[in-house]
Amino acid sequence: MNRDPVRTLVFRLTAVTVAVLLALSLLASWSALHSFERVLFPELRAKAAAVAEVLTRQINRALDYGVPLDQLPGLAEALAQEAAGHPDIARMTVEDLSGRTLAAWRQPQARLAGGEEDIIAPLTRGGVAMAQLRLTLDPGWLARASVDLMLEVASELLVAVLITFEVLLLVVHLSLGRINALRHTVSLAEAGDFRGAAPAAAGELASTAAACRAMLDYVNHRFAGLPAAAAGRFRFRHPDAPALPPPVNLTFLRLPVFLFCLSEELSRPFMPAYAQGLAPSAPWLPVDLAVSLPITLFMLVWALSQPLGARLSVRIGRGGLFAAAAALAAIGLAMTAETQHLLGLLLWRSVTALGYGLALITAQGLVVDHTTRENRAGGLALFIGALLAAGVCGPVAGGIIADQAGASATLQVGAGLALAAAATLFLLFHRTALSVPPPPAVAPGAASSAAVPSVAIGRLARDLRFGALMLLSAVPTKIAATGVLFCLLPLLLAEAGADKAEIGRTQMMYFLAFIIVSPLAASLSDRWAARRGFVVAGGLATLLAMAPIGLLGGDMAAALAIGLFGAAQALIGAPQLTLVTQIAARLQVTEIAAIGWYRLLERLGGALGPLLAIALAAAWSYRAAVLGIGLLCGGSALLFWLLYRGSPSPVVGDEAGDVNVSETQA
Amino acid sequence: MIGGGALALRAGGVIAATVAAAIALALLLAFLKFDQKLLDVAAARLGLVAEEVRRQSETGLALGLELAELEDLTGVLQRAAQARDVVRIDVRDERGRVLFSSGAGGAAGTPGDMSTVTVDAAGRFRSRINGDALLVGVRLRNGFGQIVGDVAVHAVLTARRDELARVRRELATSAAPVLVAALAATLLAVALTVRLTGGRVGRDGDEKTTDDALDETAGHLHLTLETRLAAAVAAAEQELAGSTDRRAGGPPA
Repeated sequence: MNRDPVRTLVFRLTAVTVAVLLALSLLASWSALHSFERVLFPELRAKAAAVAEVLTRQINRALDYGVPLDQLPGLAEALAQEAAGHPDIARMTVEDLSGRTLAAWRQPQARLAGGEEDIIAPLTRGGVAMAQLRLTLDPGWLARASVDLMLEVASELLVAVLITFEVLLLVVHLSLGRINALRHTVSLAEAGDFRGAAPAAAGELASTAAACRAMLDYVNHRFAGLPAAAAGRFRFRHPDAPALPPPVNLTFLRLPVFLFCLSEELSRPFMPAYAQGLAPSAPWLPVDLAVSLPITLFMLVWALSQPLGARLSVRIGRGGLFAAAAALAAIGLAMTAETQHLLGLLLWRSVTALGYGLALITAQGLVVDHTTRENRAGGLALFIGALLAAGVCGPVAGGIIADQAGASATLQVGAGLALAAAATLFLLFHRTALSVPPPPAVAPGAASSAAVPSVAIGRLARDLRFGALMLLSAVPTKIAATGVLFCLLPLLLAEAGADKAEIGRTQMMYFLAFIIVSPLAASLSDRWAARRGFVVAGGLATLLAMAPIGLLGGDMAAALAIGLFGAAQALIGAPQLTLVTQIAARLQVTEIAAIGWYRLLERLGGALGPLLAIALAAAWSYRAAVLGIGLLCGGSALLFWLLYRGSPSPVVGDEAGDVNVSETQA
Repeated sequence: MIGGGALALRAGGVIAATVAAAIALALLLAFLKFDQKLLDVAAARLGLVAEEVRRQSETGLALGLELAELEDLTGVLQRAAQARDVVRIDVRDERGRVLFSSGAGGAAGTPGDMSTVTVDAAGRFRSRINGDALLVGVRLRNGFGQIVGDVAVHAVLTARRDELARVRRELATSAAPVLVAALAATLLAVALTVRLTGGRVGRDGDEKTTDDALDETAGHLHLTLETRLAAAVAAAEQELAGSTDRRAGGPPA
């Protein structure tokens, strides 16, 4: 089995990192928690004692007026009222001197400590003890607080592992760069092309590189003068002519894309609340609209920037456009951090979206420039992998930074990362690799009219299957992604008292589930040729995923739902894209054009998501809105299935059907 | 191994730095959360003091008295100020002017700034921390629900500061050997991994396939790449043996 040895090495090194990190972090965290509990528990007891003192004073006043305890009205309510806001207190009881309970209050889900840690305060009349007030602490509260802390540490470790993987990939490829270049040259020579170069090298590689260079010079010197017909399958170059440049290593694209996407993902946990905080600055705008508009505008501008990016690349080159886009995004994020008005937020989020869209389309363009049809899926997988890794790391890191340093500081960090992404791209890629892209090649025999955008959209618009796929799958899927994940979830969790770190952890579950399920779904849908089935299953699974939020409560419900949601969306992504390419082949429209329109419509759905989500939330509640969007996805999927139940697949025996590009939300 | 030593060093350095940074960050995060929890507990405890003063104040307000007329509050404040960590308790009017205080000369005290405050989860009181100084406040409302002033509890969390310093020392003491162990374990593990991944030898003397690039990184490049290239050159020479434009000489030794 042919395996990429570099990737094998990187995976093994990452496994080593995980093992060492887990073992030593657990040790360090356990030791730290031990220290914390020793300090925290006495403080909790002191607080409980203060609660007891307050209650005791009130009850003693009543006793001093001569009211018997067992006839004192509202005693249990007074206990409950005082206990509100003290989740560490599990139970409060008023007992007479024989131990009989006269009034009690208990936290519904709290465990009770053994009793030796109870706080007991005497209830007196005129200095004579008449009864006692007993407070019991909840030992589970400390444990739950510790679990919260461990979850936060665990998510921070996950981020560290992903960042390590990205950096390791880069370090290993950089280290093996010259070796890989020499391997490529030798592979070319084995295929008959002797125009490659043996790179200059030092150390152990020097003698091998020199020997290879000598052999190439010899063979080129000997046969360069041969006419092409005589040379046959062989290719030579004049010894003085420049050698073929080594192929661009697209692995180097991962780190810039990762850093750039991370810059935006940092703000996911708090953007809706951030907009909500600025809503009073524009009192003429309904608060609900104020919350959803920044996200909607972002998705809309992102969608519309895609065709613009393709044209600008041709004028100023990939490198120039990425730099400009990164600068735009950095300015947008920095100004978002500083703005004090909602209209300013809308303006700067639009600027950020423009930069974001241009940068991503440029990065995809780099993949297209330096890959062929045979290996393009692998190139795009690198790009998508970086995007998803940022999706996992960003919300977690952003939530932690925002909790400690505030939302503005987090946005400024994002601005810095956007600029770092551009710097990294220029450091890792040669200038020639970032230049103006070559014109797209037209496949032999392809109808030239298929390349014309207006013809392409005309054919696509008239095709019922494409329309159904867009309206009943692509658009609802994206509505759910932006409406639920980016808009409703942060607001729902914030309303329930979750901090930004917890919101970020919950959002991370979506991307984690997506990363795990997506390759499997792509592979199975191809193997079983069941793309429509996966699209329908994904829509129905989205509805099932929304159920825990709408019907259950508690912290775990949201995390579970979002994880299931990510898995459901992963079922849809690759099969949906493959269906688009199949339809394109049937309609004789270029894949690029079809995918371009597909992405545009998808993003328009993404822009609609927050508006719809907030409208539903305003009419009912956040939970009802989540369920409503789930019903939209499930119902659309069902309709899609009913429309095409029993009909043959779009293209029979077409190679385009074998395309398995695991693009997702890019 | 070609590039193996350097690769192991670089990869090991990256991983060791990341592991050490991650563990240090995890401990820092844990400490910050603990600090916040401790502060929340202290603020909740002092919030009870503020709430008690509020209750007694609003009893008088409910009788129709103005806030400034509640002369009994001085005694209430002095009793409440005996709680742990409390330095002073002020009752202020809606303009922030101190009307009653438990501290000496407190009535002439300057109003504290409650603009940057945190509200507790139950929404009963607000708090602001500045170093060790904690200010906890609750609003005072009259019988009509109008805000007529607030109660401000000034506290200094000396005990908390001492506890935090002790915990920080303990963490630093326990973290140092963990970090050293992390660095050592990481470098060793990486060196082993790179060696094992790059040092596979063909079993039973089998010829390594040209696709077996791992062997190429195992220090045998001169046996593989050079051999492969030489074979490719020889194949080209053989196929092009009938070409007219042949030159004298053979491949370099």
